[in-house]
Order: sequence, then C-alpha cells, then structure tokens
Amino acid sequence: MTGITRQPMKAPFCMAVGLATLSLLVAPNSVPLLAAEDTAIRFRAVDVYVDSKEKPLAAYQLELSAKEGRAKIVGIEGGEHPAFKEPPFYDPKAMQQDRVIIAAFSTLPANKLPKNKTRVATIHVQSIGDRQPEFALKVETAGTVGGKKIKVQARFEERKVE
Amino acid sequence: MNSAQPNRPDEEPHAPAELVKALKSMHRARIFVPPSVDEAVLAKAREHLAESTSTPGTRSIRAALAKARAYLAEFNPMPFAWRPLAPWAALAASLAIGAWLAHTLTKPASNADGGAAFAREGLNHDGKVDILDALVLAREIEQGQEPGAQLDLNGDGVIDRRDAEVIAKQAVNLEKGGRA
Amino acid sequence: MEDPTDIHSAPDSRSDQELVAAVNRGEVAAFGALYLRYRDWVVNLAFRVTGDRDLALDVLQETFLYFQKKFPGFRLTARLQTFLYPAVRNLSIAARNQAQRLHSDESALENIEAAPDPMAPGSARCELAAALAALSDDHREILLLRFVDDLSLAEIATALDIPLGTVKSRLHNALETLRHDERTRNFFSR
Repeated sequence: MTGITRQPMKAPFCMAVGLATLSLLVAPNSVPLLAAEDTAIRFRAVDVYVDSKEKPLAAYQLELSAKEGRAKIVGIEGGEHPAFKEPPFYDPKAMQQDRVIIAAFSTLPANKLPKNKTRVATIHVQSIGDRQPEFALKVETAGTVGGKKIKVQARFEERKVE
Repeated sequence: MNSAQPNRPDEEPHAPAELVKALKSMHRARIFVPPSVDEAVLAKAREHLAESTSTPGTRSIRAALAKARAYLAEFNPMPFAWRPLAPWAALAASLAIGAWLAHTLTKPASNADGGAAFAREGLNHDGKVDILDALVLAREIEQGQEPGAQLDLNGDGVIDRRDAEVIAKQAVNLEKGGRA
Repeated sequence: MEDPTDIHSAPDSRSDQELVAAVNRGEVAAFGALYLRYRDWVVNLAFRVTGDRDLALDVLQETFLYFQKKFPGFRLTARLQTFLYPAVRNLSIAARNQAQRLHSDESALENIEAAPDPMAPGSARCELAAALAALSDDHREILLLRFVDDLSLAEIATALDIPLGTVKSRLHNALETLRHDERTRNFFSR
C-alpha cells in the first residue's frame, strides 16, 4: 500500500501480541498457563506456637500474614496437643491468599489442656519467586477454661516441607 | 501374541511383559502429596461449587424465566407496531415472576433479632465476636445449661455445638477481621 | 469443623461419569472422590514432565483448579484421565519452561545443573532410561501413555487429539526403535 510507512521490526511484534491477546479472549476455557512471574515455587510449613505461661489454654485466635515476598496459604493442620489436634477454624477464602485468621477452642477440663508452649497449628504456605516471604503473627485473643481472657505469647517457626 | 515377533502396523502394538514391567517400575516415582495440598484443592472446590450450584429458589426462578421466554417466543399476539416493546414486556414479566418466587421460596432468616443482639455483644459481653464466645457457648451446652433461643444461630431448632461453630467461623472471617 | 469432603473415608465406587454428574448437582464429596482417584496420577505425570517435585505439586493444584471451573455443566464422555491429560501436560510444560528460563538466567553465575541421575550407570534401568530419552518426544509420550498410564489407543487418540491410526503408527515405531536399540533389545528376545 502506498503512503504508509512501516517499521519492519514493530509489525511482527504487534501481530504476535495481537494474536496472543485474541487467543486469550476467544478461548476462555483454554488451559490456564502459569503467569510469567510464577517461578521458583516452594512449599514451606509455618508451625504456630502458643505459650500460655502455666495457665490452661482453652481457646486461641491468631492472625498470620505474609508481609514481604509472595505467598499463598495452601493448607492448615492441627497442633500437637490432643486439645488442639484438629485443624483450627479458618476462613476458606484465606486459601490461596497471604493472610489467615485461625482459631480453636477446647472444652476439655483444665487438667487436660496445654499449659506451656505448644504447637497449635501448622500453616502450609506456597511461596512464589526467589524472595522468601516474611510472616507476621498477631494474637487476637486467647482464653482459659470458662472463656476468661488470658495473656499468651505466640511465635512461629518456618520449616521447608520434605 | 509372541512379543518377540515384530508388531504388524495394522495390529494393536504389544510390548513384551518385561519391558512393560520395567517401564512401570521406572515411572513409579511416587510423589508424596502433603495433606495440606489436598485440603487446599478441596477447599477451593468447595468454595467454587457452593457459589455456582443453584438453590431450589434460584432454579425455580430460572425455570419460570425460561417458560416465560418460551411462551412469548411462540405466541406473540401483539400488533406488529408494538413488537419492538415485546422483549421489554417479557423482561418486566419475568422480573415480577422472579420476585414473587423469591419471596415465596426464600426461607425467612430465623432469630434475626437475636442474631443482631448476639453480634452486638457476643456471649462474654466484650463487644466482640471471637473464639471466646464460641468457647463459652460450647461449655454452656456441655454443662447442660440452656442458652437463650436466640443462640440457635444455624436455625436448625437446636442449640448445640454446631451453633458454637457458627460463632467460631464468624470469628475467623477475613472480611470482618474476626470482629463484630 | 464439619467437612463434607472426608478424603479419609472408603474409596467411592461410583464411575467417573456418575461422580461428574454428582458434582454437577453440587456434591462436593464427589469432587473429592475424583480428586483422590486421579491425584497421584496427575502429580506423577507432572513430575515426569517437569522433573521437579515442587512444580509437580503446583501443576496438581492448577489442574484441579482448571477442572473445578468446568462445573456445573461439565459432561464427561470418556475417562477423566483422557480429559485431564492435555491439561496436565500443557501446565507441566509451561511450568518447566518457566523454571528453565529462571535457571538459565542464574546459571551464568551459578551453573546450576539438574539433579544427578539416581540410577546406577550401566544398570538395565539406566539403559532403558537412555533408550527412552533417545526416542522422539511424540513416540515416548505415546509409549508411556500406553504402557505406564494404561490408556487404550482410543483414549490416547482422544487425549492427544490425533487420529487413532497415528497413535498406532507412533507406538509401533517406538517399539520397533526399542527393539533395535542395543540397550533394550534384550527385552524383546526373552
């Protein structure tokens, strides 16, 4: 065609981008490809501990969030003590996000509840990219038998999944 | 078939049993799938299916809309000049039918007032709904106390541990941040 | 906490089609049954292509995420394996390619190499692996689908979207190549 100036390198590139975009638009059910930035995927487990300082721990509510790096929560397990062996309550929407609130309660008598540092849950996280996510753990509340609030210390430890 | 003989192209190709055994053994590298991965997959599925599966009320609305559309498509007594208005009339009729069905079929929320009061105060009257409220209710139930009827939070007519679990689920709700 | 998807209960004996119909009705447990039935196959196939456990686990999740989005309204006309195979393969290839791009960026500095082959050099298993590696991708893929994954020829044709005749021909050629390969000829003379 006359009167049109073409830049040789741009035209094929634009066509390729256009075709790629068109194929994504017309094939909504096509197999999803991993996003370009989803690389170096690793699984790690975050063990969450609560120390109730000699008081029987009957309930806890904690928030774990990833502050830096990219992480997705992919699973939650219960803890080591029989009182908190079952997976805690959590919002299913937390799956595949970087923040979760976990909570559990036990109506066991005081002599059957943990009184010192105990692992209450393990949160499995999928980290994406080279940057390791940094986590933050916040105690929202904790209680002893009868629902009375108590002060507890919470901490977490990361380990790579075997 | 003698596996030592070459396969004929028109037959289904067979491989010697030993080769098949070796291939399977080689690829038997079992990858352990952590239970957390299982739970993540199933949690996503649960959420998706819960959102996308229609309720009886929704199905009835859709069926009514489909019937209305089919009726109007087959029988169009309107004068030719009015026909452009027919789709809008059909839409209005469908919406009216749908609204009536939704009103008829939707189960009224039980304990609406009680639920609001609970949300305001929680069981331990600290102004927040959190796991401690779930614990208090669960203990009351186990001890045989009779919590108020407003604490039948799942509306099943019984106050039991499941109602305590409703509180617990609300406590961990990300949108509310676990607060009332 | 109630969970309708108890994956630790006895395996569900319903067929794939019956389970799919149940999922279309909203039965979460049926989806769980399908997941359990095919989970190990998906993750092992993904590992076969990617060679990386973490990538395989990610492909597993992406595959079932892709699958769940088909509901409601999905109709299964073959075994689920046949339906899932292209998804697993494509996701695995994409994952492997992206991981390789990342490693190739780093390898200039660290010269990262693939994990060492755990097979003893010279062992029959090692020789078989070498012979398989020498096959073309198409031939190897069909050979493994038929004799490791136990798909029928018709299922392979559906999974790969190629004619049945092509499947037969490629499988025939793969076996003939192995028959004449020094490293695997003994399998055919026993």
